[in-house]
Amino acid sequence: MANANIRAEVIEVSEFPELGDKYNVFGVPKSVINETVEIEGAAPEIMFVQKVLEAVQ
Amino acid sequence: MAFLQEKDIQFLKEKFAKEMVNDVTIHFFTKSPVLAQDCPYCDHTKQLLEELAATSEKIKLMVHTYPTEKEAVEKYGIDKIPAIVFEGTEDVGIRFYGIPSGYEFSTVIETIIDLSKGKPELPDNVLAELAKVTSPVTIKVFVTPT
Repeated sequence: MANANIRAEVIEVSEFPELGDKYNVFGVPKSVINETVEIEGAAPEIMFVQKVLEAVQ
Repeated sequence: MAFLQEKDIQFLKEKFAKEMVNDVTIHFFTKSPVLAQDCPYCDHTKQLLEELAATSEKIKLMVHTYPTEKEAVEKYGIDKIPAIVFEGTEDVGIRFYGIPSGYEFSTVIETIIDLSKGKPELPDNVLAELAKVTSPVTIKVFVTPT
């Protein structure tokens, strides 16, 4: 919402176990940015943004 | 059986009446009644969204069948169900796959309010950093019902 380049999908992993396997989800929440950068657990907003920037560098 | 109790309904009615500005459309993609599709949570998700939409005139619910309603499926890029698209004045790419129950239901309420206001609830320093993103980013967040 803050930037038109950014899309966000929430996936209820127990309904899509194949995606849980694909992205190695062993605990929630787990975030995957552009298929590469991963965040396990909840991160403070500013740290999350740093990971987003890391993914596009 | 209803998902929302009377006290939840009252709470939501008041919250949305106070905080919503513009209309928000929920596009819900569910199984087709004529296809044999495995979607154990489709009906529950639909009911939950219907109860949610009934709490505010500003929340519009549109139900689509997957994959039969090709135009909507392609427009919103849906590849699995149940799928929920939250759309304010435009589609900014917010999707929820699965049933948003438990804690995730609060996320949905906040998403609707933010979209309705047209601005995210983020501090200025975070928004400044986000402005630096100039190429496409897709964030997937995996959750479970709690």
